[in-house]
Amino acid sequence: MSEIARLIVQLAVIVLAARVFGSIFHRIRQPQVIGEMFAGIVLGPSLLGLVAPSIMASLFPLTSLKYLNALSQIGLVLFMFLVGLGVNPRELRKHGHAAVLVSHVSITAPFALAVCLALFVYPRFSDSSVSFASFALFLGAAMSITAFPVLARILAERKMLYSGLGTVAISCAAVDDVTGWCVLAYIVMVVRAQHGTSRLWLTFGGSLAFVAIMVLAGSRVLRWFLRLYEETGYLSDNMLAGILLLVFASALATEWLGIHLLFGAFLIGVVMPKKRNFVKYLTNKLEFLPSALLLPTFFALTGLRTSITLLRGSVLPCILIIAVAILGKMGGSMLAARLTGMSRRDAAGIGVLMNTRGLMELVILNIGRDINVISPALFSVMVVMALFTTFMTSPLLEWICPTHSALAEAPRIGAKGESSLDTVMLTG
Amino acid sequence: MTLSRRFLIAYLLLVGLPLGALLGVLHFGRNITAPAAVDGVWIFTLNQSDIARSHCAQSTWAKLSMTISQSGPNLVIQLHPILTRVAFGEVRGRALNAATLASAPAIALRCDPNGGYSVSASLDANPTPVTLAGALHLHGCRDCTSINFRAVRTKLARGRL
Repeated sequence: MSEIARLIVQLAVIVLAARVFGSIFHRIRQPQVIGEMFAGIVLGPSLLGLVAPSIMASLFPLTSLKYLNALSQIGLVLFMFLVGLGVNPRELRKHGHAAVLVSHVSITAPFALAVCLALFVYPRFSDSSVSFASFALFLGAAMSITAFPVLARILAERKMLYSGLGTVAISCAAVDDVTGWCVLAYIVMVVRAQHGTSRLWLTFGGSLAFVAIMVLAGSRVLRWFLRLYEETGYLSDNMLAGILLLVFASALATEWLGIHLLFGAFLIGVVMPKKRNFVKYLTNKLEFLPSALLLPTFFALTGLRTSITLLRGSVLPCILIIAVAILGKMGGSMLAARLTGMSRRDAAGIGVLMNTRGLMELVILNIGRDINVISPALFSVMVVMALFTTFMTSPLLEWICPTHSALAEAPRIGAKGESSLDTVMLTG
Repeated sequence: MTLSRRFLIAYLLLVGLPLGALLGVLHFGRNITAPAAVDGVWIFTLNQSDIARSHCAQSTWAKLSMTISQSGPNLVIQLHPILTRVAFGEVRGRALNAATLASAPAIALRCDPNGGYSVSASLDANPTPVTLAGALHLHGCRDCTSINFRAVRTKLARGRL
């Protein structure tokens, strides 16, 4: 079979599996993205590789994965741009003390617990090529992330996006993501500098300068697209291509600086103007290809890297990692929410929502695997943790805030705000 | 107690305290050692007389390499391009030991590519070792003797780095 023919067959299988499992999970009231993530695991050595190793070997030979990897990286660049587009830093200010405390605790609590856990995990899953600090900080960042887009999808499906609970949760998730990505950028920077693939001062200084340029000057340039959109009600294909070029340029800049191309894509999304219709328009225009084809490819590649057989002998650490992840994220957020005066039910709801890790966790884990901060076995354990914590969100939320009561509460805040958060539905 | 004072105390307790603990653990963790890093590709130089004694085709064995995938002390090893089976093992201190699961009975007279094998070797003293020396034992070959080897690491498993 020629390489292009094999690639098309691979993509067809991936899309089919993603759709089938997405539909199955949707039927059991889970976000479709969890089904797509699960489809990736099914196509990998954990299931297909065990049941039909020859089929897996002929369908996904090692030499063919570079094409899938290239496609999935392009998909992730677009995805991170759309995630950044959905993040509105101003949202947090609207919710005062509660959102500030909950968001900060939902980062520091799991982060600190993960770093403590690293004392136990580091000698069992890492090696001398990775320093304890890099390993522990990575584990902290991976445990403290919240899947902003999956959270938005869950809240939208339950008509809770504009409820008090929903707006606080979504604001906190946005802060978590921005913080998590900043920490991750630092870790990637340090690890690459340690291995001599980039110079730390150049990466650090260059990254700060790049962020400053993007926030101060870049946002002004990007407003031009908003003005064009407001004048005509649409953006021509040339304008959309221009936005794509800027996204790729920003991604390339951060890759060249020695962090990672996804940071550039995320950053340009964050500094994009946040007018609701504009964000919605861009999302509609740009989300189909990543969501239907490129992200399922990323899930399949993640599944090919995940081997449940590597968990053999690691069941106890796996349970411990899942327990610490839940305790830190859910427990920390719940406690903070309660201390700010929220009711027990709302505090529990916040804790459950913040514990959603989903796709963002997989993105972070793949970066960690690429730079070799985490080993194949720890990667597999963390993927299981990501799936488990995301899967538990919907049933727990239904138990804490049944749909009928959530619907009754929805108009409390009202849908009149200029929030752009409801537009990030990419991974639903 | 006013809301802002309660907020401040809660903030210090729930944000300041974990941050302080985090710094402490990072400092303490510097003393923890992890197993020697051996992942990557190792190129073998085999003892020629051992190969001759083992009835193995010398030309194919000349390019033997070992790919190690490491998770802590646990290793997954593949020997290219001859032996098809995967070996599992561990690294303890400077010693590396690995073997294929459930070795086939030793019935073949020559080196069998599908046969079981084990590797035992010692690493050099570098924090990230670059050479190792040891012996390869072919389980599926009745008349084969152990093949001594030296190996040099050519590539770290650094992914995209």
